[in-house]
Amino acid sequence: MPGNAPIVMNRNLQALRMSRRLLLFFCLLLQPTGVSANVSADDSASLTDYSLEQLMDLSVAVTSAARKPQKLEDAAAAIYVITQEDIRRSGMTSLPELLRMAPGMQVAHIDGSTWAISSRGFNAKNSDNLLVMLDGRVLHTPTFTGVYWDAQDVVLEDIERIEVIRGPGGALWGANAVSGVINIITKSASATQGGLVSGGGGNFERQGTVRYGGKINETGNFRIYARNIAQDNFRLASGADAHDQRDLRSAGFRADWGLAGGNSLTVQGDTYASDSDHTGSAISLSPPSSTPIGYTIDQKGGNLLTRWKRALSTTSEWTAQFYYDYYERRYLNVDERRDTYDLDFQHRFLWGDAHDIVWGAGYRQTGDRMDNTIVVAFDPARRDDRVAGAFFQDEIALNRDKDLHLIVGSKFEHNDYTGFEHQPNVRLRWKLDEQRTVWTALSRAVHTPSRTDADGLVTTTLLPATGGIANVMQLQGNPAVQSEHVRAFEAGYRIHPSTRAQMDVSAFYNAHRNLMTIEPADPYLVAGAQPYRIMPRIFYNKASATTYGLEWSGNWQPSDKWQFKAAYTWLQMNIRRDADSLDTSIESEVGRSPQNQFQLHVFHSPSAHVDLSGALYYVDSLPSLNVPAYVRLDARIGWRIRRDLELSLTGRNLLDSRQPEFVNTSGPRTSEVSRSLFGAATWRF
Amino acid sequence: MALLTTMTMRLLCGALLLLALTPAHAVPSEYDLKAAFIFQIAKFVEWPAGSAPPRLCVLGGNPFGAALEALRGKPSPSPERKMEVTLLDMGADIRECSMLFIASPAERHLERIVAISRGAGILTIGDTEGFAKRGAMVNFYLENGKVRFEINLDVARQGGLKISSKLLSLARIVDFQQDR
Repeated sequence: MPGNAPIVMNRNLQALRMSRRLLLFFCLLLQPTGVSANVSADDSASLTDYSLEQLMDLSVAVTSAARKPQKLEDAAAAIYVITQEDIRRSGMTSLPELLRMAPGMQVAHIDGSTWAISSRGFNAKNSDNLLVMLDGRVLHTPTFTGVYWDAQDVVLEDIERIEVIRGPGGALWGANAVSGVINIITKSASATQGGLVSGGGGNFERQGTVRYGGKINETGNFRIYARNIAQDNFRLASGADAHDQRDLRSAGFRADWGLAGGNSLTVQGDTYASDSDHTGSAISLSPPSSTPIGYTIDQKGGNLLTRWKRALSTTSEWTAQFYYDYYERRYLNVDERRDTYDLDFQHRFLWGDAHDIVWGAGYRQTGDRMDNTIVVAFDPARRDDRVAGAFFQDEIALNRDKDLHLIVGSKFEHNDYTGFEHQPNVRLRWKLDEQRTVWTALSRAVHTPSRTDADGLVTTTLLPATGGIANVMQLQGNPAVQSEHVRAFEAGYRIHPSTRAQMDVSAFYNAHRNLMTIEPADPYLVAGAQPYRIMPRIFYNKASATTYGLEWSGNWQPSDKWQFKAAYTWLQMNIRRDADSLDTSIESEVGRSPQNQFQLHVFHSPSAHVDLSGALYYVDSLPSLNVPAYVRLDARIGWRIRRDLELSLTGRNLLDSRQPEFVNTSGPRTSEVSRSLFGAATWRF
Repeated sequence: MALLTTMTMRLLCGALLLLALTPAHAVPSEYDLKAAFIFQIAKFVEWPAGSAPPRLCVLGGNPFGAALEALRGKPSPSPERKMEVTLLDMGADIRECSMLFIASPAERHLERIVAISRGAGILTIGDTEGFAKRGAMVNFYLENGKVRFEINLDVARQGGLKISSKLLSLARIVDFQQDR
């Protein structure tokens, strides 16, 4: 660090050197044989004669600037990282809850196991614009390109970090990373050695985790875990049970080997079974009526992933990854089974001094088998789809100082629904100095049709009968439906004046085209003992939208005992349907994502054994859903009574006994999020 | 008598020189000191049998300046083995090195370096926060203006190196990023 101190020091040194030379001169005069050679050698040479203990006693003159890895600051995207420490201190018990912490995300709890999660607008129960991955495995299902959150779980203590990238990620990750990428990264097995037993309970949920990690000979490590979570029912506005409880059991393992010759190998797998309660509408044709019906979704599944990483040199490496994922989801008479195989290869290398190149190719095959029912059906009932793609990205240092980088890249992908898709981006990152970075990006990303968009037949609502014949609205997939695409312009500024303070601002302007709408088609009669009329609603691409917004976040740690984090998100959406579109509901999407959101987190450690944390959220109203603005307060106290034992008490939604955060648009009733207390103990051995 | 005078003068000059040198060393530069540390640490590390003369490579620029040059040819660990010093370019083959200092500009290559040095008998050294937890064997840090170092023993063992207990007693021992 340039400053006064080194200059002063140099002067002192100069003076000392001078006096030494004079002394040397005298000595030379005085003694005929001269002095020993090492006296005339310079300082560092004689320092090497010091013992380690002597060296450890010496103070250095210049304290170098903190050299923390600054990858985050170097990203040319709106990225936020939720660390293991953030997770622990939050007291939250599920993945979706953790995502609330990420600035710029829209996260709403719909009912016990259903969430609306998106970034930069278009929030919905079946939000399909986010790419969510766990250790490189895609969590969303091609059935609707969203995530079945009710069947997702992970040992939260084993998460290393969650990277949340807002904005398009299609150039690297491919289709459906339209508005963001969430990358959940678990720890290497070498970092989870020993045992962990944690358990907790409260008025809304109970859970328990057992995990053990050990060594596999000299080079490898493993961990195994088993976990169970059980959530109780939320309540309806009336105070009645909402029938939305959930139970999930999971077990799994991860093993990592570091092998000679630059090879690393990871093998991991999970198996799980979940059941969650929901409420839908049962349609009866005689007399035409619609009544709420409770049902349970059972999902079982498993996955196995292996990743082989090989460093070829200090500047070149490749990674090959393969996974298999299986699930079966059953509710009422619906049965959906899906097998996915995914192979991915990537190679990163430095080319010359200025180019950091990553390229790769991937292939995914997913096959499903649907047991069709009168309410939910797919045509065809079985389908195998393949996605093959390749990408490249070059990060080019534009100048000698390497503070100006241009990043260009694109993904090219072929899918069975819409054929070839390209998703290029161009980014520019300028590191103004050690503390400040500005970046800007121009990108294109696509959302390819899901199985439901193309082939689904979902009977949704009973309309008033005409002439004694029931009218049933049916959502019908359209095999000719096109990809939705977005052109996004983003810019951001990051400043970290010290290691204790950071601030990040990003702004975006997205132009969405080809958005899917639901268009009415001519009704037709279904003959039978009980004839009824189907009013088809078919997917077309007949809308466009512009969205823009601003995301601000800041982090300030005035001392080791206090930390404050805050974030503000402002979002504007304009949706226009084409002149020939009859979808009057598409425009109401605007009112489903909050215009303003604010969050404040306070962390305080009064002593080495006690942590306190509080999180305050303000979420603007959702006019289309009649959800009023709300303030939510979560708080936690953690007490480490021994090195290996921590107790904690977490309160969620403390300000209100219950409040809605979203509305279940596909069900007849709306759950309200309850106030809850959760006490937990974690023992490590 | 004359002999005695010369002896006295020599001793006196020696003492004066020490006096003159001591304050200069009270404020050595950070990297002069770290270079001296590296030279000393090498004496407490046992490389796999048949290793070449100690060869210190530096990757990611040369933060040591002239102090690095001063190490060249110094006998280590035994008088007959002279230390070699090489400044490496990114992408160079590190397997010829017995010690590799990874300067912070090479930070983003650390994982690859750790992978390549596994089982290759290379003592990896750094001075960037978190390096040891990420797999560097020795990592310097500053504490109250003094140089300290941490050692990731697991990685050193996997790398085929034996580190003397004396060195370990002076170091902070770290594991891979363990949870708390």
